[in-house]
Amino acid sequence: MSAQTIPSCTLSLPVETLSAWHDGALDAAETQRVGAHAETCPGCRARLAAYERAGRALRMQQPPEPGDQLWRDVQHSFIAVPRDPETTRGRRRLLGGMGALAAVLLLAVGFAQVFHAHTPPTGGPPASVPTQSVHIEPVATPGPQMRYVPLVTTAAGVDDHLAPIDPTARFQPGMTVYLVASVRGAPAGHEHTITVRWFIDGQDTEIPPSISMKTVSGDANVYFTLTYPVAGVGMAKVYFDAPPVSTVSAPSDQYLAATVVFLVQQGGPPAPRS
Amino acid sequence: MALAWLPQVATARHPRWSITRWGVLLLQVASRQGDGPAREIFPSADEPSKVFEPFFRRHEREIFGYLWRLTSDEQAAHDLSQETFVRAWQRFAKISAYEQPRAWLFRVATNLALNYRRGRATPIRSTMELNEEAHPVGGDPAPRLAQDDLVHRALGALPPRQRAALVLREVYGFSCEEVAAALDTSLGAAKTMLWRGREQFRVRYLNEEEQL
Repeated sequence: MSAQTIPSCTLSLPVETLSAWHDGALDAAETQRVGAHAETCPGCRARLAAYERAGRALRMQQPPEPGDQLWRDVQHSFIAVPRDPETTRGRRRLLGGMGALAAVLLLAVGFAQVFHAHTPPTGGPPASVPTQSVHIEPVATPGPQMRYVPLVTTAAGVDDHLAPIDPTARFQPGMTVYLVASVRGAPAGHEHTITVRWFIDGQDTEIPPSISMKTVSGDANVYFTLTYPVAGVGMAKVYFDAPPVSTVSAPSDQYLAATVVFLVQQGGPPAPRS
Repeated sequence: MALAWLPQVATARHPRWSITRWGVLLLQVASRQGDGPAREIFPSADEPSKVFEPFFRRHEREIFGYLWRLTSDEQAAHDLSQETFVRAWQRFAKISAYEQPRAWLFRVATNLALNYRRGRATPIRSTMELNEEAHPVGGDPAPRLAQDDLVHRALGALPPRQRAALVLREVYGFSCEEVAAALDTSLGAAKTMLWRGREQFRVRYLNEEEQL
């Protein structure tokens, strides 16, 4: 393959060489040679100026802030994710018996919370235990196609307050599917996790974020998204208070709260209303 | 909630919890502790926060921003950031002793982002969400948004590894050697990714910028 060269360069310098010079990745002799040449070569100077301009644009791009939820989600994962045995072996010896006890206690607490959360009370409840059953109403919705339109700023779509949804939209490959989990009856004062696992044609989508987790404190609407690349039967399983693992591990169906199924169709018909 | 129009939606209610099921689970966990997996239960719920939070706070914005640039998806950036930091926590004793734990984080984040993109059959979305914090109300946000959108699309058109190489070099100041390490490739290959990515980005970005 012939080397691509800088147009109008008096030395026909390869683009790769000028780019490497720009990155400070040439040896000393080459750095000096290319530097001296670039000072006087209009073609190389123009290209370097373009590199600077493009690089500046990249640096000025402002990503969104991660938000406090990220730390909360990472914290939740601490409990369930095992640490590297090499780094924890010594401590595990110390904790050996205590760990078993702690695990039982931890699960017992979880048992008490979840059991009470999901089971209507039969008698006078303890003051600290919420009594209402948790109800998760998941709906999958196409979009929102949050789209930047030049000179018209739009931020329409689903947010935590359930912004309007386009009822004529379809589930199509490449479209972002939003799953809105409306959590009602979650005991307040405690953090609860809502975990969603996405499937296509009965198989795990096998791509992050095939499993996503969010935390709620009491009742809330939370949403999850996934872009289905292909047509098929989409499915999302929603788990309540499943021990958070990682985004690549599957939660147990013991914590399954609801399942939502939808069709992703190539040019499918408009979604029917009922 | 007036969302009954939604199609083909079926919900299956939570199966009732049974004491038997929980009892079995408790027994299973208890019996595994002796020689089972290396699951660590913290003696104090505050421990992860104390030892890990300063490290997390130092790097969260960079890692999240980097993953957002690579995936063009805020939710994916969130999930992959979470996975990156969970892995960091798993190996924290080692990582915190490194001279450059930041490089380790970027390497893990890069791997996760590349795997994420490999699993997607569709090209990266060119839509972007309005970021009120980055684009505060007041003044005319249109030029800034248009500029960001342009960068987003030009970057999204690059092959994933070129995109990662260019962002690491131009935005996060990685050297070519560090780019090679993050991408787990040779120095020569990293240089090639850089110049090809830079050229492709330059052409797309500058051509479209002129039309703004």
